[in-house]
Amino acid sequence: MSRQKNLLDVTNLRIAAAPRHGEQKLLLNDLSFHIGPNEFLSIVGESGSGKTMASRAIVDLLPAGVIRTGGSIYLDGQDLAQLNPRQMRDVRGARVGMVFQEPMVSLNPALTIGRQMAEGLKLHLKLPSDEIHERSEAMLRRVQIRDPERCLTSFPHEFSGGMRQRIMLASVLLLKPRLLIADEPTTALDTLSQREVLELMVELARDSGVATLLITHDLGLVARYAQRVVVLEKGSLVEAGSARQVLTQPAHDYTKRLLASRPGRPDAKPHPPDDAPVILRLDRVCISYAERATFLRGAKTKQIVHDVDLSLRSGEIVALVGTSGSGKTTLGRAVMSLKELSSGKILFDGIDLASMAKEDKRRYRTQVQLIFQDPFSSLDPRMRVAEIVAAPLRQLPGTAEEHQHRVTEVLKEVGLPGYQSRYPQEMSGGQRQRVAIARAIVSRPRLVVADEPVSALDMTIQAQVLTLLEKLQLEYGFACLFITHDLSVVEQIADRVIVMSGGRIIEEGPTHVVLHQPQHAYTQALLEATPRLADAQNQLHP
Amino acid sequence: MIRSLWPMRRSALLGCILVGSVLLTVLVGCLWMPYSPLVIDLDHPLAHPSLHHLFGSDQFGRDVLSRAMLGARISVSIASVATVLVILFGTALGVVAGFLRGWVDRLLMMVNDAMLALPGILFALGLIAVLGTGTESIILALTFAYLPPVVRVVRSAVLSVREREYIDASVIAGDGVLYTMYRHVLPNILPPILILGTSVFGWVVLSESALSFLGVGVPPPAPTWGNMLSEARPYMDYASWLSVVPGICIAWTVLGVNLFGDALRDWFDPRSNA
Repeated sequence: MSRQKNLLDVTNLRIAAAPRHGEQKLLLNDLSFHIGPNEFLSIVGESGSGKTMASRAIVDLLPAGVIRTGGSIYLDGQDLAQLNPRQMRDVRGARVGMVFQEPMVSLNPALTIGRQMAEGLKLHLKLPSDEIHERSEAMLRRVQIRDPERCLTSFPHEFSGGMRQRIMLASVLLLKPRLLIADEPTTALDTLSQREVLELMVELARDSGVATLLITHDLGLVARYAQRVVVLEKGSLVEAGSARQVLTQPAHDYTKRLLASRPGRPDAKPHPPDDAPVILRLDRVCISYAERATFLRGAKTKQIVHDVDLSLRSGEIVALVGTSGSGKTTLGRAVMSLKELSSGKILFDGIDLASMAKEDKRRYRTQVQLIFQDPFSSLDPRMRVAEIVAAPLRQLPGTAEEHQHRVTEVLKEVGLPGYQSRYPQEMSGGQRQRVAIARAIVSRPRLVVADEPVSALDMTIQAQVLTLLEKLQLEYGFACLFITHDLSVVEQIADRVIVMSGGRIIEEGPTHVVLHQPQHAYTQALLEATPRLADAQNQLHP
Repeated sequence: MIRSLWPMRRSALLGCILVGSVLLTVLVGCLWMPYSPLVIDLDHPLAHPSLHHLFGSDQFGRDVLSRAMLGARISVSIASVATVLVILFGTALGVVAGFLRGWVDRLLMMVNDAMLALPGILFALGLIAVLGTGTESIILALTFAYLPPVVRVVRSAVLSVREREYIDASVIAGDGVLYTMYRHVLPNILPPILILGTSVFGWVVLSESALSFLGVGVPPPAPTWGNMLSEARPYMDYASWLSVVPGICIAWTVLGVNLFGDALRDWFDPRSNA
């Protein structure tokens, strides 16, 4: 492990939040790791574990108020702490490239792709403009962008998240860095685009001899792509080694817990009887959105959901699976009557939502509830937890004390006793999602639509929230339409799976059948793209 | 981080002191003034600032300090009433337009944009020409003049809030439109509205002074800072205190509310300072 051989050598790195009120909070404690040339290392941990801080320290991009308090970082045998800001700028981009999590914000919306890609080449390599153009185009072709010529003159908003992340990757690798740092590069993407982007990243890195540092919380990705892995917990390294060894024979408790919390394998779960009454039926539902009207042309409509038939029995959990843009969220919103149909019918208890009498509508509102994806946006920041949870009770009879009592009871059930007077922003993501779940079940609904309820959460929190949801479903016996893109979650909780693509239902059936003998090519691709721990055995890397 | 907090605190403190001193002057002026601000004393016209007349006297021998104090009362009350009206109506219209969208929004915004196209002060002048001079008509004119920008700002704040999922959650809970607006939209746009209020107050103080300076404001002999400036114009060469005192008063107040507004913004959203 000589310093000359390693590309990056991090020794006893310590990072702390600048002292406020006298005390210093250690964010990273004596972290040491190294990356050889061409190596693929992954740092794994949950949010708050300091994994992002570690990667930012390498390029000296720590956020304000966070400082390096000790340790050394050597890149190619050169101590990065010795460099002045000007030399550090040469390191960033030219020698260490970075891809960030949010492709939506890491590209400048006001500049064309071509301008942004040229920036680095101009700054670091000082090339003539026609050569810049040529190289950019070739690189875009490498990342499989259709029509790279046009892409160069386009703006970021014209591309999907996966496309943007590929463009980001292209512009980073254009400078031929020695090390690529990818900080949760695909967390914001759906399963299929995630796979495409990562596969491209691995391939490009291997071909051009770039070492890769992947920061992630997803052990499935580690299993599939990484050679070595470093596991962080609360700023300290708890385990490091080859990916295969760490994932198959974890030594530390935390790693074991992280592995165990990956969704999968359901226990034998009582299935709802087949003769349970149908409570929700969708009949040839079509939904369209109005596109922006231009100056001369009137508003056109774009159809998102095509002729969907679907029925949900009382007490049944049905997973609605698809990639982003498949229309699954739109369909969920339609069931909540937050979105109007362009044709077709949605029947709740046999009554058409569109022509419901006022009394039926009120009953429907108390009996159908939604759990949102993003617990940061679904809770009003100006209300206390008790008020948020009590909201659906307003439509029900009962005194204020009875409602208060019910709120207390539900908060206890979701594992948040005594949180009544907190504000959402004083709580963690997992706790907020529990509040959202409490709000959804407080009125004892018969149908709960859950729109990606765990995809914004950390792995271990995800497992806890899913378990909670399962437990509550058993207790309350509500039917659940579970919208997700994550097939491993589906396996854990759903009785039945419906796969959507391009706004149509392409496959449906009992969970074990769809997941083990998928009929449709799209379902097969989706399954194939879902990262699993078993991938540690048959990696892309030798 | 710690260092950068200090200048912000200092300007916030200054804002509070400036605004506080204006309010204090108004309060003291209600209880006690050195002279009656309207009594003419032709024996001592244009007296230099001295112990008798701290800020001197004007061409009719009236005490400038007393007139500035009464002017503060009149200017501040006109500005307060107009600001409250602007914020009240602006918020109501902005919330309705932004939350309901559709034809209501289009109609309101069409009228609003038409009004926005005219400079506020011109609009106010036109209205006063129709309504006649007087305290009420000034308040009304200034309210209309500064309503359009406020409606715009409130509407855009509402547009961003209405896309939040807690609004959907409120609909799912079965809440009516008015309840959702009151309970979820309003509290979440309150901070920007309060900050906007301080700006509006500053604009109104300036415009009211400008109107009074032009002679269409509060009619003499009642003093406002604007008409004191206007009356001081012929004596600028040899009685500079006549124009300096009301000028400083106006600048003092406007600077004060602006700094206060900035402090309020930082307090609501500490990140904007970073």
